[in-house]
Amino acid sequence: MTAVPAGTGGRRAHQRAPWPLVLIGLLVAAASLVPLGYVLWTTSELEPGQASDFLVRPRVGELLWNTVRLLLVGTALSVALGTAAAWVVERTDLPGRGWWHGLLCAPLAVPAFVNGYGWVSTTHAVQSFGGAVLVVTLSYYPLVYLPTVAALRRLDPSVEEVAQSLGHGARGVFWRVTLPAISPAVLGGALLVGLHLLAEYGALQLLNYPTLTTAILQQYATVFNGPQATLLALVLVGFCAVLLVLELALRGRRRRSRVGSGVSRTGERVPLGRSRAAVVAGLSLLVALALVVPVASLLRWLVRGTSTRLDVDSLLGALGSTLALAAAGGALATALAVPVVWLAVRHRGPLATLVERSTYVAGSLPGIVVALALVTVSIRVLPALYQTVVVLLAAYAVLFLPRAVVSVRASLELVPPGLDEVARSLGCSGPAAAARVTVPLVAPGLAASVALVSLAVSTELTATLLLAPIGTETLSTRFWSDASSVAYGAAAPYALALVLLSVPATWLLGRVSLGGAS
Amino acid sequence: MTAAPPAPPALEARGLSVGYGDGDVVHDLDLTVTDGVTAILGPSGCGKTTLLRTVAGFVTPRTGTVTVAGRPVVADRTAVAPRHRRLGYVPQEGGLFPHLDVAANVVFGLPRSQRRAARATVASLLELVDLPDTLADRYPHELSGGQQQRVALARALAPRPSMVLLDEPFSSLDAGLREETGRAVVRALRRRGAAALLVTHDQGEALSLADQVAVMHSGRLLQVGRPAAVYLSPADERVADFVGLSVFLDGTVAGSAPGAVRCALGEIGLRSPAPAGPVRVAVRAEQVQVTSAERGVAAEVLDTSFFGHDATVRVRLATGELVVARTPAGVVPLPGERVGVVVTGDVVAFASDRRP
Repeated sequence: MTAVPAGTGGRRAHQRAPWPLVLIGLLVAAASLVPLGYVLWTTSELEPGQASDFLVRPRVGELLWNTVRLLLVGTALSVALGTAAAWVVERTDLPGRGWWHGLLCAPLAVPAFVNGYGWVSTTHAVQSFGGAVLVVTLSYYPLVYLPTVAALRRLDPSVEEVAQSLGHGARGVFWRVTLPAISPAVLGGALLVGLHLLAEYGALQLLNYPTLTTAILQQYATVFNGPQATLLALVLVGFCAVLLVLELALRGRRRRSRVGSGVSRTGERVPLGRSRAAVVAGLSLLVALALVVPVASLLRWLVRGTSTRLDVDSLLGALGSTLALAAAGGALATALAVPVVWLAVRHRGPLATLVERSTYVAGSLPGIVVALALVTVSIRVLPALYQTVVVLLAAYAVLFLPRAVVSVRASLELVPPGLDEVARSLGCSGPAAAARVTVPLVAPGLAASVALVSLAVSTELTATLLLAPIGTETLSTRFWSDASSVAYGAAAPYALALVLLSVPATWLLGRVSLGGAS
Repeated sequence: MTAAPPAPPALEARGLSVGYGDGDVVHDLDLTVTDGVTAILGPSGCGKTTLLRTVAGFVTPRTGTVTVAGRPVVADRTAVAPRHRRLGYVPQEGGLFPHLDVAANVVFGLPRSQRRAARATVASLLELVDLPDTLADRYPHELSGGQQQRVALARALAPRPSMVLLDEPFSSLDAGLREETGRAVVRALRRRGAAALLVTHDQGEALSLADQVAVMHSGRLLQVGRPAAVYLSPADERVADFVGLSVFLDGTVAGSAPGAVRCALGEIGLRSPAPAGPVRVAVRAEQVQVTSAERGVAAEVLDTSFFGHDATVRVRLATGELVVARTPAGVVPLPGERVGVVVTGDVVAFASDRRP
C-alpha cells in the first residue's frame, strides 16, 4: 500500500461533514463575499449612462494612469530588489548573511504609512511619482524577499550543481535553473506587492500622490458614500481580479520549487570576488533608505515633539483601544478560520473549496472596499450596528481571515486524521478526541494565528478610519489625524508605538522564511 | 470439554460489502477469526485496509454484519461507534500522539482514575511489548520506528480489547527491524490473549507471523487457511502467483492418470488430483533444480540474481518456455551456460480457463 496517504485522503473525503460545520462554513463564505457582492450590486443599480459619464472624465483618467504606473513600476522594482537581495543572502559568500537577512526583513515592521511619514517629514521632494515609487518599493519589497529566500532555501542545491556540471557559470545557473525554479515564490510575492499597492492609502495620501484608493476615501469624505466612490471601488476590484488572473496564468502548470524530499543541504556558495564591495554597498544603501531614514526621522520628531508636550493619557488610551481591538479581531478571525480549515482539510470537496476560496477573494480586496461595503450594508440591513465596534471587527475578520486560515491550516495539516481515529478506538467520543488530541496539537498554530491577525489589526489604517465608532481612537487613527495635519511631532509617539507593535510579527516571519521556526 | 459452550469467535464478518459510490471496495466477504493472528494479505488497492477500517468502525458497510466476540457491532445498517467496540487499533506508523510522552500515550485509553496512578501500569504495559520503562518519559519523536510501533501496540492493548487491528504496522520499518518488531508484537498479543487482524502486503510477514492467512484480491477473499496450506495448496492461480515465486506452464492431465500432469518440464506428480484436460501448472521456483546438461530438461541460462543465502536463475527451455529456479548460493551457473532442469516434489495445477 505505497499509495496510502493519497488513497486514505480520498476515502475520507467522502465522509459527510457535520451540518453545524457546513452551516458555519457557509456563513463565513457569505460574509466574505459581502464586499464583492456589494460593489457589483450597487453598480448594477446605476442608470446605464451614469457609470460611463462618471468614469470617462479626465480626473478619473489621471487616477487610472497614476494607479497603473505606480503598480507596474513599484511591483517591478520590488521584484528586482527582493529577488536580488534574496539570491545574494542565500547563495553567495556575502559576509554576515544572518544580519543582512534580519535587516532586509526589518522594513516590514514599519507600516507603509509610517514610512511615508518618515520620508515626507524629511524632504518634500518625495511628493512626486518618483517619491511614491521609492516609498512603496522600500515598504513592500520584503513581500518578495521573504518567499524568495524561503524558496531558495528549499531548492535542492544538487539541481544547481547539475547545471554547473553541464557547463553553466553562476549567471547561467541563476537564469536557466534557479530563477525558473523559484518563480512561483517570486510571482506570489509580486502578487502580494500588487494587491498592497492597490490598497495603499496612508503613504500615498501623505505623499500627495492621488490613486483610485485615495480618491475613494476623498469621495467618501465629501459626499459620504455616493455612487462615485462605489464606481471607483468597482474599478479597483477589477484591477485586483486582473492581478489574480495574471498570477494564475503566469504560474501555469509549473511545479512547486522542490521535487522530492532531499535534505536541506547548502551547496557551495557563489564567491562574490571583486564585486563584494559593490554588493555590500548596495545592500547598505537599501537598508539605509528603507530603515534608517524613516526610523531616524521618527526619532528626530519624537525628541522634538515630546520636548514641547506629550499627551500620555491619550497615548495610553489609543494603545488600550488598539490592543483591545487587536485581541478581539485576532480571536474572531481565528475562531472563524477553524471551521473553514477543518472543512478544507478533513472534508475536502466542492463546498470546502468554495468556502476557502471565498475567504481569499475577500482577503485580496482593498480595505477601503471592504469598509465601504460594510458601512452601506450595516446602514441598510442592520442600522443598529452602524458605527459600532461589531462592524469594525467584522471588517477585520473579513480582511484578515486568509492570514488566520494559513496559520491554522499549517498546524491542522500536521495532525493526521489517523490520530483522531486512534483516540476513538481507545474509547473517546468525538468532542473528547478533539479536546485530548487535536486541540493540544493545533494550539500553537491557533496562538500564531491570533498573534498575526492582532498585529495586522493594530497597524490597519484605512478600514479603521471609516468604521471606528465615533470617539474610538486607535494608535493608527491618532497617528493619522496628527500626521495628515502636518503635526509631525505629535504623531511621532504613535508611529513609534506602531513600529514596536510590528516588531514581533516581523521577527516571526523572518524566522519562518528560514525554516528555523518549529 | 463437552459441557463448556465454545467461546464465540473473536471476529465474524458475514456478507460484508463496502462501497463508496462507484463500485464496491469489499464484495460480499465472509471471514471468521477464532483466536491468534489472522493476516489479510493482498496487493495495494485490494480493499484490505477498508476491511480493517470497517471492522474498526471508521467505515460503515453497505450490507453485511460484523460480530466482535459474540457481540454484533454492525447489523441491519446500525453500527456501534468505534469507541464502544473495544477493539485495539494500530494504524500505519503507529499514530502515537506527538504531544504526549510514552506513558501518557500508553494509558490514553484507560479510565481517568487509572490514568493518575499509572506508573506501575505503564511499566507493565511496556514490559508486555519488551520495552524498558525508562522510555516512559520520552516523546514519540525521540523513539525509533520499531519502538513507536511497540508503544502503539501497548497503548492498544491497555484497555484489554478482545482483538487488535493492525494496519500495515511494519511497512515503514527497515527490513532488519521489521522481523524483530513483528515477533515482539505477536509475543505481546499472545501474552495478553488478544486476537489480531493484521493487514499487510508483505507475504513473508503474513506467512511468518500469522496463524491464519486470508489472501485478498479485488475486494474478495480468494483463500483462507493456515500459512503452510495457502503456500503449498493455493486455491487458484492468483493465489499461487501472489504468494511465493512460481512458474506457470501449460500442461495436460490425462483422464487415465489424474495424479500427474505433462508439461514442458516433463511428467510431474500432482499434490491433489486435477480434472482431465488442459491445465495451468504452478511450479514453485525452489522446486526447480538446475543440474548438469546431461540430466533433466535441456535449457540455457539467461541471467542470474545472487541474494547471498540463495540465488534465482532464469533459464529458457529448449521448447521456448521461461522458467525461474531458486538455487543454493554455491551452485550458480553462468549466463549462456547449457544446463538441465529437474522438478522435485509434487506441484499444483488449475483448470486452464482462469488466468491472472
